[in-house]
Amino acid sequence: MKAVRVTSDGLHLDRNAQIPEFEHEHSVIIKVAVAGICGTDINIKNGKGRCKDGAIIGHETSGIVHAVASGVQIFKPGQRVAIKGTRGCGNCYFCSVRRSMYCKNRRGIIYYGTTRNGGMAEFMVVDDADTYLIPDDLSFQGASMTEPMSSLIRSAYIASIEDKDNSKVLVIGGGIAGLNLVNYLDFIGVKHITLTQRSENRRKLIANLKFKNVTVLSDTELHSDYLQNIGDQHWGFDNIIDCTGNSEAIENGIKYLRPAGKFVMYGVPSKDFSININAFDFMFREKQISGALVQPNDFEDALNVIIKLSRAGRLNFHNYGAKEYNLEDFETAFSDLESRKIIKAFILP
Amino acid sequence: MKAIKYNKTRGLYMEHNVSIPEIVNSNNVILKMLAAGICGTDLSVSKGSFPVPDDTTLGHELCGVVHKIGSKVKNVTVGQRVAIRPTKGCNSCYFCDTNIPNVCPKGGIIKDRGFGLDGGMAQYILVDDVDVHQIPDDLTSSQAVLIEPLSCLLNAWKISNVASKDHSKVLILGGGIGGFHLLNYLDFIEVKNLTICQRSEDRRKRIEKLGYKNVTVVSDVSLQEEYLKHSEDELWGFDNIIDCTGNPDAIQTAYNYLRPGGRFVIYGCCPANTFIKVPIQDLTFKEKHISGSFLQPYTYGAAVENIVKLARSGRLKLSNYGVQEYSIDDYKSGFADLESRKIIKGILLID
Repeated sequence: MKAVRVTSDGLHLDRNAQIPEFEHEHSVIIKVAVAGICGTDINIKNGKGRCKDGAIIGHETSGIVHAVASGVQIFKPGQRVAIKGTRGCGNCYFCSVRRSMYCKNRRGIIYYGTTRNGGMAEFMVVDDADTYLIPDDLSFQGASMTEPMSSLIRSAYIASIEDKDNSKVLVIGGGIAGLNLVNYLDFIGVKHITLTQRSENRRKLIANLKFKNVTVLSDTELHSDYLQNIGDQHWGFDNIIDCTGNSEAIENGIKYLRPAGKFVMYGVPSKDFSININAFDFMFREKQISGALVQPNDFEDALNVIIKLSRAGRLNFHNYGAKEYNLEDFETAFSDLESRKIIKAFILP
Repeated sequence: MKAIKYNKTRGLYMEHNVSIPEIVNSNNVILKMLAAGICGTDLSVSKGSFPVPDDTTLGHELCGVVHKIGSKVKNVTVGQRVAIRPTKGCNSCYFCDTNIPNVCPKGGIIKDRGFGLDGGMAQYILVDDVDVHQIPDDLTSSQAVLIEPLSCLLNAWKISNVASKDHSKVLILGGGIGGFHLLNYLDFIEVKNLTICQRSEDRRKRIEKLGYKNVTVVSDVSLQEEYLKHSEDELWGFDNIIDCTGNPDAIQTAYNYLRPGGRFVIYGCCPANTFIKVPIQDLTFKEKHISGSFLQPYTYGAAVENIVKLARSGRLKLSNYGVQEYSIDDYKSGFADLESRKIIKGILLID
């Protein structure tokens, strides 16, 4: 079969990859329909992410059950499914406090698209415990968005929005992450959402999506508003989620917190840097900064959210500037994404 | 009456001819003061590093006797001994409405007695009926002084959001009154995996003498050695760290001791304009949190209850605490002994 592999030289198309076999009695072989590309994949391609040499990349996967091993009770060939990125053991401290990304027993050991073969291939073998049925009216593209949506839901949970009617929420960055996040927040009824986006083209695209409770600003507009209101403790946001990973955006964003405000670092900064936290100010005004990654336990909630968004007509990716590519065209997909020509790429093997 | 005040030119001083406050509103209560604690922040005020309006009377950790009450006061009567909550919000802003009056722009520190308004290091103080809580006869006035700091520590503990009292690993930085008081309370409520880090050996000995079974006492040096020994172990560390030092270097170092998902609470008062450098990939990939904790929202009532319980279970013997009492006239010794770290807390007895 054809598959995209990671090596120390970057990504390569392997035309003669072995079709996967059952690994144990709970294996499910999927015929992949859609493999989404995300920021982490770009980092892996550029040598900045953790990935097993030779692994098939791709952790945002959906497809059709092709074959099931003898111990699989729930799934049958022909069923449409979405695949979760990883799971915990369920028994260690971290799993018991819903932080199974740090599971002592499975952490970093078993994760599709990094340490075990992922979805940018014609077929993929997974565990039944990582497989989820999807309804017939959910597109494969939508289903492949479950994994990134679960990390966005996580960021919103960590942001800890007290009051959907009155809390002032800011999302920094209107790429696919920021867009999906405001889509979700608007959908669940958060009333005061501001989104900042540097590029005018993307601001126009977002305005066309017609979110009810979202104000779209440029980063300079917001910053000048901040400068005009310094000293007014009521100005600012209660919850800020950064979706850029950009050091300047983050340093400025922290200034926009109002007392008791919570800043969330979402997603994956591609290079490391330190930010300066004013210890007295954080104490005196009870501010908070948190990191948000993803937690496997959130996948099921995310799937419910994706289904509801889809049925409400809120998952029209082509309006978002998303594009599909064949597996052979994966290099174009990555370069279109990196050059910001598109906002999201789906590989259709 | 006498009152201990601060101004920029004179520093800390005792004023002898302060007018005794009178009832102004029908909900006012005037208290004859019995005891006022000296806290680390008072020390900062006395050195000019925590700003207060000139000539403010200090003292926010207070116990007194009801002396006069306004016509609408129903919750206390003259002669009752009470603990005094020094701060509240304005009751009419977004922050007060969402139960965080401690960050209220008009209340909070601005109306905090001992900081923004005259406090209780004096013979009398004027407060409102909502600010006073009765205390039982078996609680001493000096023990009652420990209510206000506990109310702030309860806020810090709430903000810590500990996942499991049995399994989460908790580190308290600093064994001064903040750390010690918090440790005492957390051990009492049966938090199982408690570590306290204290630089000086004599303060460590004081903590060890308590003989608490679930508490590990370490020095900053030994803790850093542990950290370096486990530098390859991503799962080494603490789930909750509460800083009670107010020392930015201690906070910077201890950030490294968080394990994934861990939360760092900045409770101790750092000097203004000190910064912590936070590595952004580490914070994000490991889902760590840094939260500030300031004063107390609505935890004063719970603090009263808990101080009474601590005292009745024998956990508030002030001699074990390293707390010393002084007469109000001897206030300078109290501040000096705190500054020189001879004690971890001073209490002024006023009568």
